[in-house]
Amino acid sequence: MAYQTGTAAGPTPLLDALRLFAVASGWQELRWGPSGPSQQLSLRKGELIFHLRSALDEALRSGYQRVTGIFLVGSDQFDPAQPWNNQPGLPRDPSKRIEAVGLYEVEGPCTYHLFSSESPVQLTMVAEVAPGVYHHLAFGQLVKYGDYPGGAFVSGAFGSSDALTASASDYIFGDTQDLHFGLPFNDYKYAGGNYVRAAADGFDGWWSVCQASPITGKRAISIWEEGPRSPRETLANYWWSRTPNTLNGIAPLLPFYVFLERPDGFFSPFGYPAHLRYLNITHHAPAEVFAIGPEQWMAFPAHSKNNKSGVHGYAVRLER
Amino acid sequence: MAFESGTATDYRNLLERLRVFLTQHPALVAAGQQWTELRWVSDAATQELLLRAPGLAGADDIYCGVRSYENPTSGYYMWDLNGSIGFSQVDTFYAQPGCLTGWLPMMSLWNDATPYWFVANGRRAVVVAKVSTLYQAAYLGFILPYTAPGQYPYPLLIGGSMTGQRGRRYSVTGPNHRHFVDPGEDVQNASSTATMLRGPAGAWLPFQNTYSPTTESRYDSARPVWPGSYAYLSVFREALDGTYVLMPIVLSQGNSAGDHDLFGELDGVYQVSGFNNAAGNLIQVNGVDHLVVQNVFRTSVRDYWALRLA
Repeated sequence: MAYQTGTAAGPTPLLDALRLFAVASGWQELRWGPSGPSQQLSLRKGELIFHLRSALDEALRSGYQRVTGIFLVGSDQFDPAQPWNNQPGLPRDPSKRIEAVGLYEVEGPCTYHLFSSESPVQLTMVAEVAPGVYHHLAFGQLVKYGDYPGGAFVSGAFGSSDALTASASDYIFGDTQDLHFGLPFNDYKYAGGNYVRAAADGFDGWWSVCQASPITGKRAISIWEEGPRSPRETLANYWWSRTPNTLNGIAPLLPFYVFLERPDGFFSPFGYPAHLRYLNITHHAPAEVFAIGPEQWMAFPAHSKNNKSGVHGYAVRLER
Repeated sequence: MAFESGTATDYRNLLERLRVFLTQHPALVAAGQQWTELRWVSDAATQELLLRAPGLAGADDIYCGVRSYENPTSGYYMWDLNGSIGFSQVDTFYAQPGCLTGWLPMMSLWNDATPYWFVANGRRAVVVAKVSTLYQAAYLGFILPYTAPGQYPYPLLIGGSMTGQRGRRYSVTGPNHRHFVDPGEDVQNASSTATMLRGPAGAWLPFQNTYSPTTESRYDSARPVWPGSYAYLSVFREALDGTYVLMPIVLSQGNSAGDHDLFGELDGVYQVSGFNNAAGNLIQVNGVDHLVVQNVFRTSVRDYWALRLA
């Protein structure tokens, strides 16, 4: 099963929908059971292991704000004796405290879209948590540049404890129309809501895709990392601002390239998700399907079109 | 596609070799993609070569030309590069139908031994030539457009390594002497650059990433070439396992008239990091050799590109 849509009444039904879809798509259910007032889910496909938990007005850990939605982490192994948030190889801060990504603000019934792809593996969920407001979770394996350990990724609309505030620090290019809430692989945010797994330069763990102050101690960047001048130039800025094409209304897709920061201050290209692309959605409606040759993709706003995220969006590969 | 490398005796011999390569190379002939010679004039002072490329399926008519000339007193030996939408037997090289006028993209060569690399298919040809320790380059033919063929049927790019407007010696430094992959001019938004694309409406569009003869400053021009326009390219190195990663080179537009476009990408030409890299290196990507090329004399991390040798 490569695509499914439906409605869920809250975080736990939403997580259950993802569980059933994942199993139908060939994922192994390692655990599905209660966790406090909510449910925990562990999934495996090949070497990839991910853990999710629904949250009902709960905080990931002490010090973080309470959220309602779903937490997501990746790990190296599955220990059935341990809960979802104490598995081997979770993303942790230098004080060994867990970090996660999330899909929050699931306060009521919502429409969801579930996508499964192979080669490499990726599972994506996008939920319309309020009319016109979309959040996502995605996890799987990046297309890697080269042969080296790692490549797993988790991406969420939020970090461990993140608020979608309309402050100037959330503008990609410094303008109010350039808000970028919830964009996958958003490295313009401090801390960030995306992690990639890599063993390099003496570190074997999760690299935080963020602008600065990597929460795991290791930083990766993607296409939004700001350049040195104003207006902020990024690999994505030149792409975004030149699309959609005046000639035919088409906005070419841009991979979310990921680069790892090395000890010398340079960045190594690491990989990109094969089934997720940046998209200027000026000419696309949320959840609209469009074709590129034989491929089909579905367009989503980073948050809400022409509102908090302007025309920043993304496309998920649709196979059905 | 066809590939050839060798050493020409001088800038004129280089053009003679390109002529034979494009019209007779066995790989092009076998694929039905050899170029047709429309005019070949060679006298003591100049050479003039006008060609028609057939496209990949023999269904296109892509018109390009190269004209060589020299001025030994001033110390330059040039190729002028041009493209048109047709061929006129009676018109000069500089007056072919719909051709570029004014300062053309150029290659600044010399009258001495010149190592070279030619790559071509039925849609485009790329030339790299080593002059002393510098590299010159040209792109003649179609880009890979981000449109349906019917929407943009003639995406002709004429790319060189010098604009010619501020001097033509191969030793010239500054933004007028840059490759088509990351072009410049020493005036902001100038119309004479080394990268000229025939746009969807039929006008020739100049592309430019840098200006200022002293600093080669980067700016958000009306038509930058991505990703060379991104200043932070200087911090990108090779992948963790030492392999080099290629990025597409995309022609973009965002002008004051409200046009915004990603026209398409170059064919077989990619941005690559120069970190621990050097011109002349061969890097393998998916089993295919790619030649590493430096942007004329520049050797910083951001000033390299790769040419697929197949």
